[in-house]
Amino acid sequence: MTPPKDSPAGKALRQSMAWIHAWLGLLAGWILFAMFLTGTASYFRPEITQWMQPELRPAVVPPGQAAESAIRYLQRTSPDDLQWFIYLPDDRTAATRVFARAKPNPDAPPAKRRPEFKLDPATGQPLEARDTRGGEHFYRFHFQLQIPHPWGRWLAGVCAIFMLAAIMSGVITHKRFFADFFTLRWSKGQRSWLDAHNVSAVLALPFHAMITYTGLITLVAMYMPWPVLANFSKPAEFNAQAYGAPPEGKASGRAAPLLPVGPMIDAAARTWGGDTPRTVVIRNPNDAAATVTVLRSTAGRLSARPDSITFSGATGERLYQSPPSGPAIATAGVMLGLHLGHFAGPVMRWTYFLLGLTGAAMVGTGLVLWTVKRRKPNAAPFFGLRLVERLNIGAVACLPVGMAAFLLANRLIPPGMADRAKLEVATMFWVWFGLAALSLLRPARRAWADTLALAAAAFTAIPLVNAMTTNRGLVPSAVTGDWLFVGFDAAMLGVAALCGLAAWRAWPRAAVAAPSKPRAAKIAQPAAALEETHVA
Amino acid sequence: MSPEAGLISFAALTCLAAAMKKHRTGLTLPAQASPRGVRILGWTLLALAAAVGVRQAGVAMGLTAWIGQLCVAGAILVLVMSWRPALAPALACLALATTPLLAGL
Amino acid sequence: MSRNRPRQTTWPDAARMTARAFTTLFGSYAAAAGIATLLARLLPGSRVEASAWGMILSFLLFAGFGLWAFHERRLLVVAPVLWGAAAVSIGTTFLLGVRP
Repeated sequence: MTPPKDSPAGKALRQSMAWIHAWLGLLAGWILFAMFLTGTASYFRPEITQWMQPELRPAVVPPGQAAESAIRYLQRTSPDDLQWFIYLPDDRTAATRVFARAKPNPDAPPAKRRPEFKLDPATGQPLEARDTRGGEHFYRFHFQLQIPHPWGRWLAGVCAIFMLAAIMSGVITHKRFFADFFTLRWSKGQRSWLDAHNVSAVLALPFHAMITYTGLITLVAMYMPWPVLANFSKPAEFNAQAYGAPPEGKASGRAAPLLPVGPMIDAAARTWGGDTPRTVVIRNPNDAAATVTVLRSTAGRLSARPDSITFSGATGERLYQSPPSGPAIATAGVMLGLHLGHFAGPVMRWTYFLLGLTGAAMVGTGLVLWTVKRRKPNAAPFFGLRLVERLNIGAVACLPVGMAAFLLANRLIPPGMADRAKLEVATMFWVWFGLAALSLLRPARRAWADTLALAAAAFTAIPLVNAMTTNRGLVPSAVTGDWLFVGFDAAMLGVAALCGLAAWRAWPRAAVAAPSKPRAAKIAQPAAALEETHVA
Repeated sequence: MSPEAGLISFAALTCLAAAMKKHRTGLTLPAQASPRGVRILGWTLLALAAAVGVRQAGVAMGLTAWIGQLCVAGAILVLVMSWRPALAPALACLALATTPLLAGL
Repeated sequence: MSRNRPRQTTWPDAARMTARAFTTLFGSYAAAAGIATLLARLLPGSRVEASAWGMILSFLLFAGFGLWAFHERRLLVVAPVLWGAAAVSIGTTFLLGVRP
């Protein structure tokens, strides 16, 4: 990246960039690590949700049939609602999700928002399953950080812009970008940590830069609304012009039977070159002014902007179609799509998952590197160093245990218990922060090893507990060809193996292992666990 | 999207690593392979991987898949080379050999 | 790291650092937002497209300004440039008013 012979200006630039890189990375690092790790898990959001409701095994049916069965149910239970939202099943979500909004009653106080529920796509009967946040919890946490709105999103945004600046300064700082492209040396103290940090950052740089920038773009309307305000006196107009505004008419008061939506779904699919719809929104059902809006699935397309077509529910006439987007809106749509990864099939999803892990590895190794660089061989660590080291343990080693605890809680908390979904979430944070506090009782070196070993044990426990508490353990799932459950358990064992390897590398050993240099003992500490962040 | 682009990229990166003085000693190669030769082979395979991705999934999706899988291939290669360097060329050959098999399926 | 860390941080040092951090975080944001917004207001073509380009580019400006704010050693250069760019771009946008 930089010329081999440094000009003084180049050197000064690299120095200032190295300095800011270290501080940006440190200040945002702990939160970024958590964002990377939970965000990476979110690539399997529907799969995690399915795993967390093991009692559901609905049959797979075409989207049109699922929509019809859901409407039959809604016609029986609440035919006079304002709106029905029907989220159709696909190859990753087995159940139809339904959310219905009642007409506002001017004489009564606004009713409480009704909960979303799941229907069997084939029969349209409600599905009873344990209450859980499922994969949605990791997804929400990765940009809301379990902090009240809007502060969590702002904090995540600040961390993301720190990350962006850290990437840019990191590239400028890196002296031998191409020469060290493939270099990873183990058990060489600080050198190893620098290698690991460089390699995880450089090799997946396109991914890191993309995921950071597009992450900011996902919430750009909140972080940077000003360009819209300079062009529109009513910001809602921007949304309407950019993404389309399906008509939101009032009910006419004249009853008219709702036409079957199957043909509308087929018509929409023909318009979209065979792409299936993802969502059906029915407004004012059974009214002459009823509308049926069909939203396009984003699977298989880079852009995450859902096109929509609106039909009249009474006549079947096509009333509205979302406009084609211009280059800028299309760019933003593709950025959103690249971040969410909904377009990805299984191979690309796993690719994204592994790239997400390199991101967590990059942040984790960077955090450890900060402490390794500042540790003086023959001096007691200063307060800041000890603080950073403890926070590193809390973020890098304790969070995975918390995530495992969330999944274990799903199997161990009785299915019918009140507030069990909240309890699952609480388990994750109690275990995460509790363990971080508990690890203070151990010397730092031991705390790393113990916590990582605990993570390995917790992830190993997941398939075991799953096999004991459900009839969908690894063996029965493999026999019946239930690859989602097989894959989930196998992935947990894989993560457990990584944590175990990290714990093994971090395990404090007698000085025998170290060569006769007196400093070796100090250096050996960080040299240890390289992959602990790959765990991540 | 299938993993062929990534498999070819793995072989490509192995060639590019073998062309570097630093890594050449660790990777056991046929004696007649010159650094220049493997470098050209590496870049050719890289272009081939991109072409395969585009061919399979179109320009936008194909290039996205290619870049993503290239990054993962690089990470795996580095881990292999840091652990058992001699294994890397063998794995690269294996990756190349599986590609037509996968494409055939 | 590269700058010598004095063993004892003096109060003026701390104040300067605080001012610089404040300018970097908020001044860079203000300058990036101001320039992106002015750009969005001035770009020809549809309002939707212009707004979207402004939003898409804003974060690149933000990160770039932020890094420069720490690279330039003279705070007396950094602060006027960033806050000045913010004031000028935001002021111009206000004078222009919302696009008709």
